[in-house]
Amino acid sequence: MQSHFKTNTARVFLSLACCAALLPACAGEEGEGEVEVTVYGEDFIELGIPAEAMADGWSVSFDRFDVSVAEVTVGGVEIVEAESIDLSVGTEGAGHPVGSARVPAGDHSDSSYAITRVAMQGSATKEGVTKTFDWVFEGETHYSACETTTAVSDGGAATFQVTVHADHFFYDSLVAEEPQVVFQALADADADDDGAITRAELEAADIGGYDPGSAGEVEDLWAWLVAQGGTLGHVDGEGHCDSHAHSP
Amino acid sequence: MTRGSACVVASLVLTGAVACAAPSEAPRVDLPVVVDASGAVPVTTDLGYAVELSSARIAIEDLVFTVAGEVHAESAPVSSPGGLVHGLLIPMAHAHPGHYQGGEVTGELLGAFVVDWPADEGRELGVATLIATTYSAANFGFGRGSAEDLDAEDPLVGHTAIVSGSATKDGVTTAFTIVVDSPEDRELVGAPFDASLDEDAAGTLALRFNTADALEGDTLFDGLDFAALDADGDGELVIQPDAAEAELAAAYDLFRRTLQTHDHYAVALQN
Repeated sequence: MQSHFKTNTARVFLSLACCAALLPACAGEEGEGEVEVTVYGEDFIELGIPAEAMADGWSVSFDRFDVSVAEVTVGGVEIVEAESIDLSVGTEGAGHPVGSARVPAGDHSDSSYAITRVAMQGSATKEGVTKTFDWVFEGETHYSACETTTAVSDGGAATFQVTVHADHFFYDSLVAEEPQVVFQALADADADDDGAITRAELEAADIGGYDPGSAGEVEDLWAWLVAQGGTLGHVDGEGHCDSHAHSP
Repeated sequence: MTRGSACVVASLVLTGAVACAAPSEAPRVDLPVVVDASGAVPVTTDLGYAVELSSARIAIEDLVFTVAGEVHAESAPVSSPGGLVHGLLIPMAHAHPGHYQGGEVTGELLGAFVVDWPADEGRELGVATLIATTYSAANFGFGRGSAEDLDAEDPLVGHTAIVSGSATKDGVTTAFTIVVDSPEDRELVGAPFDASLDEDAAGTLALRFNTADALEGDTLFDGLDFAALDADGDGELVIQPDAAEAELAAAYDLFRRTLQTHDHYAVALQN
């Protein structure tokens, strides 16, 4: 690996930097096309997260998973979107259409959007024990520099999908390459054992064995969920974005 | 291939053939990385314990250096001209869940190391190769002690770190040993490394372990009530993974979290 760095990375550094100066000459196509924005929660939100996908035997289902998406921008055009979408309603893979706009033709890789609110209601079950939750996250997260290219041709149609990964709420790490998807710590936070896991109970529960990386301010399970909530947003399935959270 | 991507490829080919017919390597510099124990100092914790470190043996691997890491400005977005070029040229350092953008790696010292602070003060770990530029952070992986590299009876075999020392409060001293196992592939991202390097840079890169976080005023051992955790009162405390007692398990979780933050590591150019 060391030789790879020495021979490849360093060598191409200047040569490609030199090439980059020519890129703007190719930018731009004539005309415009229609871009439709959809929001999709995948099977994990529409059908639930099965025990096989969890590391500790719990399964999770959502009665409601409202997401507010805003400021969707593709090709420099801000696309008007609906206010809030319940992603738990099945779409058979299509996602929920939330807006569309005419966008200049070209390959657009500068898309961005924001998730301004998430409200989730549901339950988790294991071995006959059921815990319910009804949580609202008001924090706003901006997603930019997303890893996707929306190809718009003159007179054509394209889709830009905001994909929401609900399982991130149940990750046991904020930094691991392959975090485990678990629920036990959240279930244990139900201090009064009434079956409902409340925000107050989560705020009173230490994150225990969860790994927050260097995010020292994430000390309780509510803060943990808030932090994980800032990682939900993707594009076109698995495309990642830079994310920047803003407190409510 | 889309028209746009074809155009990019064409540009690269043409530039390589014409404008960049004689590709040249970016200026680089090779600098030794040495262990720096100057940060392994006695500390007083938030609970009033005076803690002296005897040894912090930590298995680390693949030290890399980045131009814009977690502790500083966000990396240039790939949509910007500079970000696009950089994204094409240099692998991004990702700290997962994959949605976190780390700094761009432009230097490295690969390999697995067991470092003992402070006993290894001045030990050279190897020679790092870095592109000449301005650095802001360093990353490395937490590994596990291996029987291939250590004595088979070494207690670090199979573990990430063993930290030992003494904690004194109200005249009572507790000798402690804390064993830590980091998750597989756990990377520490964003240890401060502020340096501007040109190809003539000289000196060493000091890899520092800090028992105190000067910026935030906390310590590596904050939150640990050593005397209370020493349930049998024999003056010796062992905290290790999978502790059965809830108090010890909580102490382990807390210490592991702290040990794995970038607050307690740094790299500095020393002449």
